[in-house]
Formats: sequence, C-alpha cells, structure tokens
Amino acid sequence: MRTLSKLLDLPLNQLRKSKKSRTQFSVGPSLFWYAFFFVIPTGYMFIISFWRQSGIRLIPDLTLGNYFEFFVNPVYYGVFLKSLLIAVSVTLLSVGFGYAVAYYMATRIKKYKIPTLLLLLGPFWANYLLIIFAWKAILGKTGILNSFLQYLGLIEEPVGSLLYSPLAVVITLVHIWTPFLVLPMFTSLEKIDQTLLEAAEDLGANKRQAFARVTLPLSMPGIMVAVLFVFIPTVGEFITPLLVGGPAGQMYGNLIQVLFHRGFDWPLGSALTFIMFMVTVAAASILILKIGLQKVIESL
Amino acid sequence: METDVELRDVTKKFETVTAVDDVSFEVRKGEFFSLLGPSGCGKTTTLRMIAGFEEPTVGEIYVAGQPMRGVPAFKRPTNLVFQSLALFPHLDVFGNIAFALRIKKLPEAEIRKRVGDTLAVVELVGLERRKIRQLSGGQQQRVAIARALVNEPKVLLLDEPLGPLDLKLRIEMQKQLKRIQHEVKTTFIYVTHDQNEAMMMSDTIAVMNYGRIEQIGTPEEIYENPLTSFVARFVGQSNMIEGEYSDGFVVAQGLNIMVPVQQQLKSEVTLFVKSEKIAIARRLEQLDNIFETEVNEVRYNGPYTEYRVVLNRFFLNIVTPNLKGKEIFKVSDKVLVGWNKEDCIVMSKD
Ligand SMILES: Nc1ncnc2c1ncn2[C@@H]1O[C@H](COP(=O)(O)OP(=O)(O)OP(=O)(O)O)[C@@H](O)[C@H]1O
Ligand SMILES: [Mg+2]
Repeated sequence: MRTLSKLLDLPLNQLRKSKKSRTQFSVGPSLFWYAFFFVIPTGYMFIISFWRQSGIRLIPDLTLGNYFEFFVNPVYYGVFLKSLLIAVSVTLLSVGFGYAVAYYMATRIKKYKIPTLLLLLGPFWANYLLIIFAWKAILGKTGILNSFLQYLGLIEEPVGSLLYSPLAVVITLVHIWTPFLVLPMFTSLEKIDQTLLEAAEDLGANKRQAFARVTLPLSMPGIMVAVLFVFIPTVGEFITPLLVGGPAGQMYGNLIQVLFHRGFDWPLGSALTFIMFMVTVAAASILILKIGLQKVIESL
Repeated sequence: METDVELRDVTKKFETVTAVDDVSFEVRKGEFFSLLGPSGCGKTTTLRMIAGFEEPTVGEIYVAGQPMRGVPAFKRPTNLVFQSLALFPHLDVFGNIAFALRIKKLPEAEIRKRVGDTLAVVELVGLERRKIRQLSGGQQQRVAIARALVNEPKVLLLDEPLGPLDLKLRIEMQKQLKRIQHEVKTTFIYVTHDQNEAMMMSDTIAVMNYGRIEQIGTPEEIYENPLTSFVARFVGQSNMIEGEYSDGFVVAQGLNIMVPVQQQLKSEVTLFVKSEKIAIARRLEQLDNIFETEVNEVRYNGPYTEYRVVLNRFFLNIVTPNLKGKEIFKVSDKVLVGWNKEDCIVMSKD
C-alpha cells in the first residue's frame, strides 16, 4: 500500500510543480474512471486467471493450467476459431455493404444527400433486440422466409436450419452493425476532393483505376476504423448467438458467459477472456500500426 | 506550321449561363499560348473542354487533328495542371509523378528512369520520397507540372498554376516554366488573369471577356494595338478619355488632342493613351500634344514614379522611369505633359 501511494505521489508532485497543471489536472477524473472501471477489474481478472477453482471456492495459485486448457480442449479453441471466423465474415460483410452504400450515396446521389441517407438507413436504426426478434420472425421455421419459399413451391417442408445457425448470427450482426458504419464512411468519402479523381482521369486512369488508386487508398483509414469498430466487439459477442445462434451458432462469448454464470469456473473464464483480449489487441495494434495512428485519429 | 489544338465555334452553356461563347482559335505545335481574362470569363471552362471534363454544347475541338467529341479525358493526349494542383496526398513525390506511367503499366525500370529525368527538368532531384505536405508551394507546383509532363502529352494545359504563389516565387516559376517549355518543346496552353505573366511567357495571347475572345495576337500586338476597348482597358495601364472625333482631332473637355487620321469612326469616341507613353517635364518639344498642368499626386516606387495630373476636368496617370539625374516632381509643381499622336488609340464608343 505504501508503494502504491508512493507511485501515485510521484506524478502528483510533478503535476503540482508543472506550470500547465490546470490542463493536466483535468485528466484526473477520466484517469480515475479508467482505473476504477477498467484497469482494476481487468487486473483482477488477470490475476485470477492464474488461480484454481475448487467447488465454489477460488484458490489463489500461480498456474498456467487454465491457459493450457484452452489449447488442449477442442471445445475452447474450436469455438474460438469459429468466433473469429464469424467475426471476420460479419466485419467483411458489414464494412463492405456499408462502404457500398456510402460510396453510392457520396458519388451517385447529387441532391438531398443527407435526407436520402437518413431515409435509406431509417429501417436499420431499430433497437438491437428488435432487430434480433425481427430476424427470428423472418428466419424461423414458420417464419416469413420459409412461408414465402413454400408459397413459391421451391420447398416442400420448412427449412429448419435457417434460424439457430451461424448464418443467422452473421445476418443479424451485419444488420446491426451496417448503419453505424455508413455514416462515418460516407463522411470520409465526401471529404475526398473530387478534383483528385479528375486528376487521376486526366493522367489516364479510367473510373475503375481511379477508384482503386485514389478513392480506395484515401478512404482506407475510415475503412480500418470501421473494421476495428465491428471486429473487436463481434469476437466477444454473446447476446445475438444466444438468441438466434442455436447450438451450432454459439460463440466464444457464450462459453465465457457460461463459465462465469453456470459453470462457475471463474479462473478458466478469466483465462479464456484474456486470450481473446490479447488476440483482439494484437489484431488492432497491427491494423493501427499499418495505417498510422495519426490517420486513424484524423478519420474519427 | 502544324496545328496542335483547334477550337471551332465552341460554345458551352451551363443551364442559364453561357460560360464560353462561340470561341475559335488555333494553337501551333510547340507554341506557348495563353488565355488571358478576368475572373469568370470562361478560361477554366475552355481548358476543361480541351482536357475532356466538359463537352462543348456547340462546336468541335481538335487535338492533333483528331476531333475530340466523345473522347473521355483519360484517352486524350492532353494533360492538365489543375488550378488547385490536385496532387495525391497519399502518395509521395515519386508516386505522384509515376502515377500516369503506372496506369500505363510500364516496366518499373522505365518508370524510374522517366520519373528521374522529369525530376531533373523541374529541378526536384532528391525529393522523391517526400510527402506532398512536406513541400513548399513552389515545389508542389513543380511536382504538379512534372506529373503532367512525364506522360509526354501532346498538349500541356495549365490553369493558373502560379496563382497562390507570392510575387518573387511567381517570377521565379515563370522563368522555370519558360525553360521547361523550351526543353520539352510541348505545346502549352496557359490560363491566367495576370497580364504581365501572359506577356512575359506567351508566344500568343487570346484575351477573353464574358466567354468571348476579344483579340488574339502576340503580346506586343495585344499591348500596342488593342482592337477592342476591353483589351485597351484590360491590358496595360491606360488613360481613357471620351470625346468627339473629327478630322484627326479628338475634342474632349475643351482640349484638342491630335490623333491619327482614321476612317470609319463615329463621332463619339474613346481615346486611350498608355501611362508610360506620356512624357512629363519642365520643358517639352516636338510632341504632337503638349499641355500645361500641375502635379496633383506623386507615388514613388523605386524604379518608377507614378504621377497624377489634372487636365481641365479629367485626370491623367503618368508612369515614368527614374532615369539617372531625372528630376522627381512634387505636388503642385508646374509641369508640361505630352505625347505623340501615334500613341493614341481611338475607338468608336460602344
Ligand atoms: N459547372 C458549372 N455549372 C454552372 N456554371 C458554371 C460551371 N462552371 C463554370 N460556370 C460558370 O461559367 C463561367 C465561367 O467560369 P470559369 O470557371 O470558366 O471562369 P474562369 O475564367 O476560369 O474564372 P477564374 O479566373 O475565376 O478561375 C462563370 O460564370 C461560372 O460561374
Ligand atoms: Mg478558372
């Protein structure tokens, strides 16, 4: 405890001496917030990920057994790989779809851009749970899609595998994420100076080449931010798979949730959480390093 | 002489505005041709039609003998240096200049060679890896020119490329542009609203006003023999006197001014005399028109002094070089001013 206060004292003393102390002090509350709600709980989880569980008792220990468990038990790494795959699909689809809509809006629509954009995205701005239940109603055994296909005579019996599948999870998540991506990508596309495209055309590029060599690289930071924005929370997603995923569509987040709630193995749950945390942090760092922090901040 | 660019009765209408109105001209191969005119007179629109970003509403444009209607910009043998430069911010100097060559999928070794050669022409060797925003205004200008030149266009179109530069740099860049044109021998069509710039660089100038061409000629022709009152007013610094013409004289505000005898003049005329054609001295002889007056205003600017004198009811502006030993007059000094009839340009009032 004394060492902790010493650690805290040091910067405080420096702050007091600093002439710019006013601006630096204003960082205080948010630092506190960050420490209290992020660093401390995460630190606690990190610590217990090396503990053991016996019955309902947590046993302080220093074991890598929980991490080891992840790599030997195909349930854990299997579901993790499946979650990554789902997250990659959701990210590609929602970013691709969002980019296409944003690009169309930014380049093809000449008048009333913003109202058109809002009209177009209106139906997407529904509540998270509402979207999930809407897809249940569409994909279910007696749902709209099955009835329609039966009506057309394309199928005899309703297809049961539409809902409660990884596909349902992907569709629902793409629906949830896309509207959040269109607006920022639209803004970043709108910011691109049109004379740059004329310059490309003047230098011999046709429309497709101008897009590939000018529009796409200039909107890349925006795309990367969108990728992070979708990928990170999707890897740990658990509500959507819980409601529409069925047994085959369960994701890593569901495993962790079960371990904390019903399985009651907090050390293993913490270890699994940390593995996911490390992978997403690594993925994010690589992306950010690749495009440069400056550009990411500019595009926000 | 081979013709590189020809505009035949070209008109461009945007909804209600007629930006370019029945324009025709020919540009010879290797010529430095300038479009000179005030803001909004249709210079950029003319250039954009040649580059292929706008289609003429009426008329036809020929580049190297080929009609250009329906030919998209990316297939035209022209390259444009944009008014805003439009350099690619995500590419470095090399990437910007290599752009057109990469589109053409040339081998990398040839790209490197041609970019290197072009960098030498615009004197930017060593800056290949700089980002655009790490360059000065003049350097960016030269990258824009290099990016267009590396493509070896038949015709290089330049839209006020020196617009945002300060005076010193402008003059430096004007010299460089002339040198570059001399080296690459490409046809240049240069747009500017700066008459000095146009005169110093051009072989031929077309003066534009309200979408129309007022006069085409060498800088000297445009300057010494303006054919319309717009050109007379726009080019150079002229005194404008309104009066009545009869028999080699213009009578204005009680002054009798001797002018060249001209047929086909209406009686109501406008007379122009360039400020530097008027002599100012204590004693003057052998000039066709000499008047007594007194100095009203003096503006000394180093190599020149600008005077303003009152003649009866109107002002005359006079610019005179401060030659060695020449007296610089003060306000209220009694002086004579005078000029020859050949320095008068008389036009019927329109
Ligand atoms: N896309 C357009 N739509 C409507 N009007 C236009 C368009 N482009 C140009 N104009 C009009 O055409 C006229 C000529 O414009 P242009 O840009 O050719 O002038 P400019 O001589 O280049 O002027 P500046 O020296 O200011 O650049 C102007 O009145 C302008 O408002
Ligand atoms: Mg212009």
